[in-house]
Amino acid sequence: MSAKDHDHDHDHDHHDHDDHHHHHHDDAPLAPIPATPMTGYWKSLNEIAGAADWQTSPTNREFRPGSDKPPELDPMSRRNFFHLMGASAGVVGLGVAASACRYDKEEIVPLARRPEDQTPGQTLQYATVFDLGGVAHPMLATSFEGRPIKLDGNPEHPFSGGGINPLTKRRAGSHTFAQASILHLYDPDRSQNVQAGGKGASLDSFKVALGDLRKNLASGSVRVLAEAHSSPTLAGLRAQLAQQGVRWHEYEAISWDNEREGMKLAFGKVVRPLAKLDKCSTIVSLDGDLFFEHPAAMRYSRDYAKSRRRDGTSLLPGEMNRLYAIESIFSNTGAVADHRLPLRSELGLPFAMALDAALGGGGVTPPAEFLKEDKVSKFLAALAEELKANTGKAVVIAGRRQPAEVHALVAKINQTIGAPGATLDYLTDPEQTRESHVASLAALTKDMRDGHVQTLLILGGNPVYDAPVDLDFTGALAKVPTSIHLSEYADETSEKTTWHVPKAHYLEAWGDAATWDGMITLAQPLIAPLWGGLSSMELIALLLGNDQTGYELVKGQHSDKDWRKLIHDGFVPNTAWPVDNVSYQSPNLPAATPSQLTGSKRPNGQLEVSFHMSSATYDGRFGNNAWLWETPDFMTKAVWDTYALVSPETATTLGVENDTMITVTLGDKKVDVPCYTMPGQARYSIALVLGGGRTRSGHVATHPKNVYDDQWTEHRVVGWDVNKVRTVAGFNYAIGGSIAATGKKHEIASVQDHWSYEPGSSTMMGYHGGFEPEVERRSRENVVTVTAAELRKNPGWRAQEPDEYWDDTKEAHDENTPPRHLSLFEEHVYPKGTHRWGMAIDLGTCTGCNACMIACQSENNVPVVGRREVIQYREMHWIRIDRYFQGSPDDPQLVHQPVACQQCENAPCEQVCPVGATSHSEEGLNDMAYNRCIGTRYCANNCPYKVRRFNFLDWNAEFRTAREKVRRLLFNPDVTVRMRGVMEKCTYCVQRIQNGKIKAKAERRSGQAPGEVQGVIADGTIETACQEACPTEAITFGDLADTDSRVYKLHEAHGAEGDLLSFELLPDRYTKPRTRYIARVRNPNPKLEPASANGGER
Amino acid sequence: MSSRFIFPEWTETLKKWINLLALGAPVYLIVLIAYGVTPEAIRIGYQPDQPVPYSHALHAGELGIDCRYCHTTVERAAKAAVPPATTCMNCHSVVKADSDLLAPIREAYAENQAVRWTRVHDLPDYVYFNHMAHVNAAIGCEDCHGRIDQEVKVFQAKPLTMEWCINCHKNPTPYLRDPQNVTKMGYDDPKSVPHRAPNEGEDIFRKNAIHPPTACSTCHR
Repeated sequence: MSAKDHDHDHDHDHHDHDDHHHHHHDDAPLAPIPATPMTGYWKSLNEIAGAADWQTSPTNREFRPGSDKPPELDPMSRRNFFHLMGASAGVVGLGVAASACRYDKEEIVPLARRPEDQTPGQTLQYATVFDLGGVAHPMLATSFEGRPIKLDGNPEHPFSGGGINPLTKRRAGSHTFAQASILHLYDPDRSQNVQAGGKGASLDSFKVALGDLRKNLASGSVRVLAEAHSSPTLAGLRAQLAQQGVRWHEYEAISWDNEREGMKLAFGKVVRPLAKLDKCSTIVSLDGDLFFEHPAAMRYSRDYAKSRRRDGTSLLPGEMNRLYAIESIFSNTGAVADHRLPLRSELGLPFAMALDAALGGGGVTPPAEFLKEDKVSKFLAALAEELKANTGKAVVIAGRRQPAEVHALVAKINQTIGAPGATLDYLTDPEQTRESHVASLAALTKDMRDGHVQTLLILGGNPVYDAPVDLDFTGALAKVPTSIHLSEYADETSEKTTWHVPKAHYLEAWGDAATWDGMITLAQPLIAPLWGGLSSMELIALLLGNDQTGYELVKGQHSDKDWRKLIHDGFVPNTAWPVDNVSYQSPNLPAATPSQLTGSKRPNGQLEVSFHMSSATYDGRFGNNAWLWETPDFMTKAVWDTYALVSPETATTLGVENDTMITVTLGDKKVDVPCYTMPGQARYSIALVLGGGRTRSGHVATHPKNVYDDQWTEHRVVGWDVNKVRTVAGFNYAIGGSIAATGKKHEIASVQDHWSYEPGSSTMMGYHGGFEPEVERRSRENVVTVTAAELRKNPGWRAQEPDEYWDDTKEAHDENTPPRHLSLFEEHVYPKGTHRWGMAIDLGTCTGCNACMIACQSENNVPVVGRREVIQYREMHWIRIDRYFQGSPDDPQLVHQPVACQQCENAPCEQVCPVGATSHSEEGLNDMAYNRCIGTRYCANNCPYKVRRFNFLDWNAEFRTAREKVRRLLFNPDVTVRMRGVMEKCTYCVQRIQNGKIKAKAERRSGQAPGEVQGVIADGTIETACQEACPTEAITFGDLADTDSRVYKLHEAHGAEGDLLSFELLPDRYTKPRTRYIARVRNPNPKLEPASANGGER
Repeated sequence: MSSRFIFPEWTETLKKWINLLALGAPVYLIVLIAYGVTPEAIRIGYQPDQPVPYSHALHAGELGIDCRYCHTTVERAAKAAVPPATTCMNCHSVVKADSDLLAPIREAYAENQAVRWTRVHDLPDYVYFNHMAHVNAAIGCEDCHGRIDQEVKVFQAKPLTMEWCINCHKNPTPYLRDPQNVTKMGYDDPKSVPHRAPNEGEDIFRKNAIHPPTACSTCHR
């Protein structure tokens, strides 16, 4: 038994002797980490550790060991057994009786007056805005008979819309938070009434209180603490308040104000840098995440992918950009970067100084030891050389964790490399005087404590939870006689304020906000507030004695003439902030501190502790969003938790490992969190994930199945609140941290080893027999990468020979060819004129952002199962994103690979269904008839790609309770809601295919549209939900029978030189999948990675 | 005299019948139940009460109002759409404006409240039927709904079972008609004007490029 097996089995295998395990556990050798870099791909550290014993490794299991045991209910006595048997016999009897009756009586309830545009049963789309941290994300909301059911990006919006490929229709991606925000709309946990002093109160009584408050506005003792906003309407109301003497504070726990302050240092005024990545040959990201966390992430993803997209006709290696990432945590940007340097956040300043010096910007290289390390010095030299060579075609972007000085230095570097005007615009920020978030909150708390604040109006946000701990916001709040909190949920802050007022969801209220470039974007409600609720602007208007509705307030900002067009398009054209031709002011920047001058290694007690956005809850605000909690984090693949990220080397050195509880100490502050060993995390930098441990946020975060943990029963909420160690000085990162194992364990639910499949292995049919030698020899990896240089050198490069594993014609006709794979399948025949749906997924542009996962969940009514069931390998996502590392665990490369049903031509699942519930359609889809499935699970067992999901329990049971019933309004009516005991899987969004076909045919038959009735449907007419959400257009869906379609070109066409970049998964299986992958083309710097070191494929 | 009771001799013939009954009853019951739970037995003829005794026989039959006057979305949407009260009031604000039977309609119209009709043609929730697909492919209304023009109170006339659907999907020709006549009732009656022409189905099959799919995902998604 390997070391790995011991620690995996420790928690769950109750058959073994406990003492043996405990003993073994405490002294268990830590997971061995190979000293030399490995050549192949690996999915997790578990896999490396278990590689020697692959057959019994947890990574090679379909189910968790022990999951065959019955659920932990009361012990099943014989007596109970007969009770149950008796009851079920009764149920069967009733069922037979009931089946002889009609379905439930159904009503048809037509509107008494049907609005002009409404067609019963058809959806309509409206432009609106999702506002995250004061930045607009333009959305298009789909409404079914008056209820919003789906969100996507607004393709018409000039900032992030339009799309990448000029040959396809205009489109816009969206990110997971935006996609999942619709779940809050129907969340019965949202606050439903006004509270005064903890008791229910009426809105009228609150209005009376506001009236009294209005008389005191001029006293100077009324303050507003708001979450960030960019609404012009709210800004107008704020100015009116300011005139009356009310001071406005703004705070965000995840703030970009360091960039603002940096610009002030560099230029003497506030400007906002906006890079033009599509104009760049070289992009450098310094400790930031351009493709998810950045407020312009959708724009940056789109622009970045422009030079990396594949049409199937050209590889464009010469025009491909090159991305460098220097970062402490492994981010989405680091994952797609051609070169990545793991570096602690604190070393950002000396690194930027050294880069500035190397570029001849006049700076001096600090005498930092880490700069002399081989990897860093080479990286720096190559980067500087390339930036010099690419003057006017390169840009450097610093992340929000970096201090103002680094942002100023980066502005200087950008000036040196000729970025402003060419690849970078500085936009005029109309808001010049605002204090930075932390400073503003600190000033407010001081005044509160000194008794200068009589009334505090908190507009959104949750400062009691997320304010820096050393401000003691809660203590200061107790000194304020009247406090009012407007929020969607009655949360930690609402509990401490004297008034709580429910806030309307953004799909329930009028509003406006600005995208990162300042363009005014309009929000329209799609539904009346389900439980009352006011918007921020309505509340401020009420305070000012202005009884205008939100509609009147927003409309008042625009001319009547344009209003209808503006609200239709969702934005006000030509309102983006103008470019400011600022000049660099050469400020005196501080020298590197002594701690920054050391090498990479650090003793415990001198560790860096950085704070990091949660991919599930952002800063905690989505704490009650089950979709987000259950979507695996991009990098860790963990769900339903927050944790501390520790690099494998650091973990080994400090004696901690995966799933051990550690105490992180910073000064006199401590917090306990579970440890997650993350390959690629900067050494001796502990990354704490924000947004966990919400104590008051609704049922999701405190549901027993989500917090269920046999080792740590006193912990009753999801995740861990690391705000307990976040201070004003260490708001983004702090130095001087120490970690110590507490001796307890907490299993982080992680899907990284679930649904594992290996080329050459025989995991089909429940047989774990390892590798067949012959198949293994010819097998390839599941991901293929190639360098641009390799492609240039060898234009005939192919990701996969189409006939390597099977060739029907040769097999049938050429007797001299030795037989290879003789097919046992009856081949499907597709008559001419039949659609043949297919998909292509480009590994080169996939940033692993998870947008496709939530889009799929929303479109296909995919249920949430909760933490306990995820641990049992029972998650239900139809599309998963596999993560493959390559190289050494301390500095690996990473490839994301979205995997959904591959729609095999020769589908192993179809062969084994005893009732024909899954069968081949005329168009080559593997159809799944849920109502026919009897749940043998034979198909899932036989699926080599592990993409089928089984409803082990009735995941939708709670939707039938009176309280949760409202959640059903979110269901997509075009997709069946599956019941317990039924298998389900991706069907390429067959409801969209069918509706698209019906529409096209009907239009052609009635002469409204030209074209043959059964002919080709224009490419791009039918899009899958995942494709629509993808910000980089990595997913292409279409008709393979249409030789003009993009998907056909990506699948079949060879470039001018005969190259073929597409490949299929497990070609040796002879399944002939309809989904093909496009090899990831990397563009490494030859100075850093000699061409011979990477042969493209193994 | 002995008190012992002796069955009369004629009961000997009864025994034979009792044996027959004991053997036959289960068979009879099985046949009865098997037929009794078929869609033909329990679904056809379903005729629920409606809030307003709207007569299709009067409106569609006698008055000859086209189906699409009320069911406006049938050619461009999945649902044929039961009309809003405003459609009724187009006529009934003048015609029979004071009728007691129409009170619910007037009330709905005045108060902007919905009339709650009972669904007659009810498919299981996992079946996705689309009117637009069928009407544009020139399947007549009566092929699924029967002689609505003769029904005073609407009832289900066809089984609406999967077998019944698939039979037509496999061989649609007998049901195809000139697209202009989709709402025409009694189309197969040679006496009606217009009526089905010889080979009409075959002609439309070719002309309209009919290719009804039979894959599971056609109806189940």
